[in-house]
Amino acid sequence: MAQTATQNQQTTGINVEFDVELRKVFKVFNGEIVVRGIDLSIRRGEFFSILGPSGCGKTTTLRLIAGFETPTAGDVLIRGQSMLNVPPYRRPANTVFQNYALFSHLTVWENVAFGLRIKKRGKAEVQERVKEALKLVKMEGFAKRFPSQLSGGQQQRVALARALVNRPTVVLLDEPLGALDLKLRKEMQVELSNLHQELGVTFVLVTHDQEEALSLSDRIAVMVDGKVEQMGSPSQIYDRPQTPFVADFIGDTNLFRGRIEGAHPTMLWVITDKGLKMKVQPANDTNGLPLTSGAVVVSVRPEKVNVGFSPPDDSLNCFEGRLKHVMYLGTHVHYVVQLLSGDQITVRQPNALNVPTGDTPVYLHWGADDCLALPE
Amino acid sequence: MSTKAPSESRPIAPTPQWLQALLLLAPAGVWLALLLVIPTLLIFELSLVPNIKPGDLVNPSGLGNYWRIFQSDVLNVIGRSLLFATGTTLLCLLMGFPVAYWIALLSPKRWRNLLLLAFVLPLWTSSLLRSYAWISILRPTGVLNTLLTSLGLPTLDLLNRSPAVFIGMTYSLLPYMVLILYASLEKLDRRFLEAAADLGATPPQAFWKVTVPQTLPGIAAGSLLVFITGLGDFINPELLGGTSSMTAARLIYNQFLGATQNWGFGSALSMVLILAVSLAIALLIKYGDKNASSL
Amino acid sequence: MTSMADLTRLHLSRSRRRFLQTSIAGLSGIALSSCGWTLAKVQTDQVRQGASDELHVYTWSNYVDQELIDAFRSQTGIKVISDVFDSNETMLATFQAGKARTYSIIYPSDYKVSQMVKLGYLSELDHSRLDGLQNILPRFQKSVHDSGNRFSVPVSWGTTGLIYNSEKLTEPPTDWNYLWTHKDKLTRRLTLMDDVREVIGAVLRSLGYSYNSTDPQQIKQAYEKLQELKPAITTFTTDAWRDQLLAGDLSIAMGYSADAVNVINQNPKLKYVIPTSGTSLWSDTMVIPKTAPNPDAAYAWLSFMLQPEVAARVTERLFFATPNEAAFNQLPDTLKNNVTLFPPQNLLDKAETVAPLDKSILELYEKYWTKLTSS
Repeated sequence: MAQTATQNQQTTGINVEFDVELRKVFKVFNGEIVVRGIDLSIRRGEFFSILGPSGCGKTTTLRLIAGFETPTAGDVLIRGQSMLNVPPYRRPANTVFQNYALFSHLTVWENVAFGLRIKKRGKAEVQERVKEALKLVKMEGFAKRFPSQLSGGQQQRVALARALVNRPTVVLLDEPLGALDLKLRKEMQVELSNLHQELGVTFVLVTHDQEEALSLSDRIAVMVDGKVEQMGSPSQIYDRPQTPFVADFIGDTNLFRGRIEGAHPTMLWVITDKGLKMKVQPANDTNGLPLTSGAVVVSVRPEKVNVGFSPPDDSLNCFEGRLKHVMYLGTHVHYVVQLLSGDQITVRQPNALNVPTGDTPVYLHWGADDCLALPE
Repeated sequence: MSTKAPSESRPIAPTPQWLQALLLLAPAGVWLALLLVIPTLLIFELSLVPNIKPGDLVNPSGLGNYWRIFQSDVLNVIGRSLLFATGTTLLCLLMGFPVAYWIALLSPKRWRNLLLLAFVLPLWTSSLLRSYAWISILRPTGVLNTLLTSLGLPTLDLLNRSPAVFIGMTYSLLPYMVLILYASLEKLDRRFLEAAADLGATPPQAFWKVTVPQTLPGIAAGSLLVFITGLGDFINPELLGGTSSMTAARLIYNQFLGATQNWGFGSALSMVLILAVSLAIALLIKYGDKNASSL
Repeated sequence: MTSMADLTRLHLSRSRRRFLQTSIAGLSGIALSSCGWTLAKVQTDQVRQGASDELHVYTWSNYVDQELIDAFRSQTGIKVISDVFDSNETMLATFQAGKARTYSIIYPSDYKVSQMVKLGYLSELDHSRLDGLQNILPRFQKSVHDSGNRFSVPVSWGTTGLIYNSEKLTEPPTDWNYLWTHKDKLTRRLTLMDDVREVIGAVLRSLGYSYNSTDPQQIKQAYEKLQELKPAITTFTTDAWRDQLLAGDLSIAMGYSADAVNVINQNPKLKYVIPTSGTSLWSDTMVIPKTAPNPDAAYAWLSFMLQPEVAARVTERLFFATPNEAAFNQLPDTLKNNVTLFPPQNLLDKAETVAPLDKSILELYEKYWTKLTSS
């Protein structure tokens, strides 16, 4: 019996390890391709984020999972079941909308109870579950209030409760924290994370805030122009971006355009367009094969750049420049250095001691392992 | 450095707020007072004189005219007016809601104004003309029956019966209902419907649990407007209603212009109608959609 | 210590209250002080002087045509401007509203004349200024509404009867009772007039009572008989039946003889019959209101209309029966022998005029009418 089960799994391609799958999904609006053939597999219990700039198609992707849009091509599966021709009200997914979409004519309690009542749950059960959900989001005392009487953050929590109370397979969150101020946002991020850990439900979050994605997610898919540029864990995305876009979008970075001059098993030699020669750790192209030649972009994170006042030894990448700006940011300091080559480099150092004043010659250096060569 | 203390400088008295309000409201207020308030008071005074007719001295003496209203024949007439008004309101609601819904939520955006215009157009023709048009459509040998016989179907004897009155009144008042409902539905947040679907509501469920409660002010406004207008309509019942077509409005007309010339009773009946309409308007103000009722 | 804001608020609320108080007092003062005013009083002592070569006439829609106006002008040099009303009630309401001050000649129906006389609206006619009053048939000189033509000069008359489609009704009607005996055949093909007195009067007649009965029992009987017929009646209308009869929607209608002549002209298959149990005789008249701006021109008009040639021509053109004997003699035979216009004497003898009734009886009539049209 077990054997036939696995056989079935293999032959029909259902893999119940994944809660949500998108297979070669395309979406076209009025002749414009908004989602270009993306493939996503979201594991059960995962906190998955779709990250990208506005207009990249991430919200559309979420709506495709929820059922508010139908794919022009491709398939959406939830728990292995194809969702083609399945309307939103029959999908085991619940959405937390960007503007909360709380029913203004119902109280908080009635809003949260909405989904349960639709399913005709018994009165006692509804009472209990709504109470539980409100407790979860710390809104028990507000049961009789109307949405218009709540603040943004409170509405957000009610929207969350409303989705969670139905115990869906997947919770979809469409930029839920966008309308909140910074402090509140940070608080809510922590709460979201706690909820996720407590409940163990699959979360799919859509956001343009990379810090948010990085701090909350188990895995991130970076989207731009309707395609997934890279998918991986936060550290993978951050430390090992695979394209210049990802490198630039996630965190700050310094980019140098150039080409590979020499390839070595342990290192690459790159000459930038401005003539700088760098030692870079080996890299692979998009197919996984080692890069040996061609145009590349070298990415160096500001926090990996060291500032010195005297030329260090030759083993590191070292370039001379002039200190242009210093920005004191409390926990750390930002320097903007103009290299002799003309490149402007951002450097980030923990709040250190003597900060030199402008125009002094400085030497920036970093190791070969601190920079990445990304195929163009 | 010494500056002049505020108490020493001459204060400029601003126009007191109540005077400002008075000046702004005066034109409309005078208009209303002369054409609405005072005539209503005069009618009220007349209604307190039993058996008055032109040429008599006006001496308010009692509520005799009001007791007459409770006689069965008068109550019957008032009941008929209420029946026509209520029935028309329900019909307008049943027919108007789907149309307004379609125009507001389902039709292509660029057609919307055109569709609304199409609905408003009948209002530009005289209402009397429209009633006469219905006569020529619903007559035994009219347009409708000619069409039916050419299709081999049996004819309908609608004219000079209550159905014809409902048809005529509904036709006249439907545009108002559609416009008011449209205004309410247009403001409906589509995301509410998405949220409802997301939470498991089928389209019919979403309709009853979200759309209807959200547009309730518009429904109230439209219904009250149609009801109030329908209550005063006596032309459609008379032209289309046949032998049982006496309405409250017509009864009032008969008191003033009929053989008995009982202006006192007519005034009392008028006061009752005014009261009913005022009540409906009060409800409208309280529950109606503030933006839609401005239509 | 009270702040400026508090003082302002206090001042506002006080002045608002004061404003409301004064306005309520003012309005109720106006209302109360008008106690003891007379309803719809027409000032007959104030007469507006009009142009001496102009005559304003207030009449029915088909009584004064261009030819008549031109003939009058060539005879007297006076220009006639005619305005139209559709019912006596409208005419009276206009008069009571004080809007009829420009008219020197008005055309009320006979039964309205007595009412207007009682209200003091009409000026008594100086017969010495009228030429040809003697031509009027005796019957119309001694009308129950204005015996001796003190206030009015009859200009047309007619009867009320049944107009029917002879093609549809193989057995022609002769009396009101036909409607009841043939109720099934006539269902939804029959109309009665929209007039309390005419309809109830006709039914009273069919029961053998007077058109103008004052006996509450008789009136009740008439009401009950009408209720019997009601399911067969399509609607109550005084003249809308014309189109429907011509179109074939109706088989029979109750109407005035003048309207009957009109439709018969358009369709000779239609016929008019005066019920044998009796009918009503109506006449329209010309009067001079007390507020007439140009009484001289008014008298000229009256004399003009009394001329036999004029009256005869009018009958020929506009198809209403003339009460003027001399004019009648001048008519061509086709018109003289037209029974619709000029019914035989025996039938005329059984005709009654709709007489004025006491207010309490009128209210009884109205009450039954309301009951009839609201059940």
